[in-house]
Amino acid sequence: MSEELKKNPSPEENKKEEVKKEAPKPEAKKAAPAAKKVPPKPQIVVAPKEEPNEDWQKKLIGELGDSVKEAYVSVGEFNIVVENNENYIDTFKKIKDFGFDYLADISSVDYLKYEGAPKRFGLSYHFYSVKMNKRMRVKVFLDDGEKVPSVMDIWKTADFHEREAYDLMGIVFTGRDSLERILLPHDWVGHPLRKDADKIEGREEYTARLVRKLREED
Amino acid sequence: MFKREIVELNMGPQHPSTHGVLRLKLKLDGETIVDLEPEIGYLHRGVEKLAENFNYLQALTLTDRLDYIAAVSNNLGYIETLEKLGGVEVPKKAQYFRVLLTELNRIASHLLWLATHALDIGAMTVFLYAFREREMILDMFEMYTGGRLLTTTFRYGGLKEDIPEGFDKKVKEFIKIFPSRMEDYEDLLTENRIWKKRTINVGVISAEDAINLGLSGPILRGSGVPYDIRKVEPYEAYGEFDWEVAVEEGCDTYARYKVRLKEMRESLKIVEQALEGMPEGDFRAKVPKTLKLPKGEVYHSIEAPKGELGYYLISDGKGTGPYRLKVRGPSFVNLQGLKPMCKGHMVADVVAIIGTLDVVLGEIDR
Amino acid sequence: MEEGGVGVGITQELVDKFLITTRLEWVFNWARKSSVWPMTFGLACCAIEMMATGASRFDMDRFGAGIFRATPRQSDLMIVAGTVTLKMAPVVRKVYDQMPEPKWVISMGACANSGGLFDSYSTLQGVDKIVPVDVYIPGCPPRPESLLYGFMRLQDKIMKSSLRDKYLKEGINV
Repeated sequence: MSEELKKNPSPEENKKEEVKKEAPKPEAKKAAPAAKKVPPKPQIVVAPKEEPNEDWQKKLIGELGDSVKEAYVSVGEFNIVVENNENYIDTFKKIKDFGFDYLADISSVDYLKYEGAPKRFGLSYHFYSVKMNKRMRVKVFLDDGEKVPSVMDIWKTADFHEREAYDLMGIVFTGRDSLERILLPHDWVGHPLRKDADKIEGREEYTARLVRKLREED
Repeated sequence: MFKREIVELNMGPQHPSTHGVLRLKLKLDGETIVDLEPEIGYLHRGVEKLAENFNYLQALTLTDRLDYIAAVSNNLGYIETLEKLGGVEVPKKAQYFRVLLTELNRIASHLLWLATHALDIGAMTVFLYAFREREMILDMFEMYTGGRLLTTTFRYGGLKEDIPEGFDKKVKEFIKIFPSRMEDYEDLLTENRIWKKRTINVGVISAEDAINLGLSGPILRGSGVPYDIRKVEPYEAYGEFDWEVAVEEGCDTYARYKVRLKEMRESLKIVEQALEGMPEGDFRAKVPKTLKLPKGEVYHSIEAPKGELGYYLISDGKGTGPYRLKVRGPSFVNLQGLKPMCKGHMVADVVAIIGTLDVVLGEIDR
Repeated sequence: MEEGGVGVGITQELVDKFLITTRLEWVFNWARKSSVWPMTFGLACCAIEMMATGASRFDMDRFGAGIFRATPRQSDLMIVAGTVTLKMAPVVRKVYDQMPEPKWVISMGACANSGGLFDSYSTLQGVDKIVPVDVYIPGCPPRPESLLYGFMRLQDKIMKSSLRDKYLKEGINV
């Protein structure tokens, strides 16, 4: 995997090409105004982060204590950033006891081309509380190859989500029974949702292998 | 005497009652299910990866193809996610029309569920009846979008065009006809002895388990949890209409059947109110032609016909497309309920339970 | 063949009144095209339109093809309705192999034709890579009318098929 990481420049080039490809589209229709718009490089607008100020948010941060690395509200959503350490499972148990009994989603993210992320990968847990009618997100950042404890013992729903994160992003979860591919064929190589993988990476080889195998069976 | 042994049975991916390409690995003791493992991914089309290569508008077409029975709901969830991050206020007229179309789509989706669920259990007539009414709704979609099934309905900031002339007439006709047709279905099924025997006490799941498993939509409401995002976190204009959340306490397949039937009635109520109260004004807010969103992340969920449909969108602020788009498909999570629901039942009940889960493989596999 | 060829004991009057003479091949083809039994093989979105084609409004039964069979062993026609992924491809092929001869394949929708919108890592770019296709129907998804039209084209194709060619191909001298 580290070799693939070193190949960073090539995806970057791809990206530049993509930008070039996309740029002519508006120009084709209105050549003059589009050309004027280009020179002042568009500033990156960042969604503002605010301090959490609702009572339950403060209370939850207080209960979690040192585990909380960062807490903020952005686009009206309450975020907590935690670290992947020995207290990891404990933190989630506390979150459940606090009232967040419904784990809506676990999303895996590859921050390879994202500016300002502390580590390469990330997991976002989206919670909902049926009793309190509140939502929150817990984020954790991971290095490549870093293993993370499974929360399947706390929420059974985590099963499919974790298997999906492993299948498509290659994040390994520990402390759970079987962690095998869920969406892709079991003999697939690689993790397609990683940012250094092309959108068709592995397809042609797999198709060729498949067609060859089917011919042999005839 | 007879020797007892556990037999492994493979069901699908080519099976008439698995609603697509779902594959189940069953472990049977006689005809009783001891264990079950769903094998999915036979329709994994790489939607999330493609979305990263598309721009925001192009990615909208991908959302159609997630839950292809309820394309309008999928469009709505995605567009609302963009609007939440972009901070756009949608005009009232667009909100009302969005609600109207989404609720019509909910009825269409539930009709397809009713048709296939009944067909699986053995009632062919309902299938033909339900498809007849569904075609009426598809005609309306076609009138507005040009597509029957995959509609790509809404646009960032509102609607893609104004409501066409004569649309309200079609909706009114449907509102007039549909309640009597609902009674027809109920006559065929609700008190039918076979239907009751096949559904009551089949696929039981308690509220606590359902929450722990992350189930949502009619399945959770069939277990007595009044979790309907339209009510608890109203989006669009849902807060302005008078309607009830359909909840049943039965926890079984029959209860979920009743929940969905009631939901169709409630949806019709919303459609009626949205049509009557349709405000005048713009159908689209002023938005730039090339859409760029601020750097940030947002999770937004809506109540799709199958349950909580969530989109997790990350924008890097530079590109014109999503940096990462994760779809929380309700069917994907609901499928996890299959194992606890099926254990101890007969093989024939698996078909009924798949039907009651109302899974769509496009959304499970993405 | 139509002219003359009347055997002993059959008068011209009888022929005019009661008998139709035709080619055996035509009868075979006519019978085959009039009762093509498709297999329920829904893969994705197109399957819903396929169901709609079979249901009340469009009623595929009018063309003798309304009996959707659940097993490949009883069907003549495989309508590949939807995206074929790489994981699904071996299954599609296996199901095709299990169908008895004569058999036909309709590739329904952009995904089955060429991969369509889904130019991604996990989709097969066209079902014709693994099974021979008789009729391609464009659209995403094709309307039920398109499917019916495609089906009528398949009927035309069946009418043109020749028993002689088939036996020659298999090395049987006719």
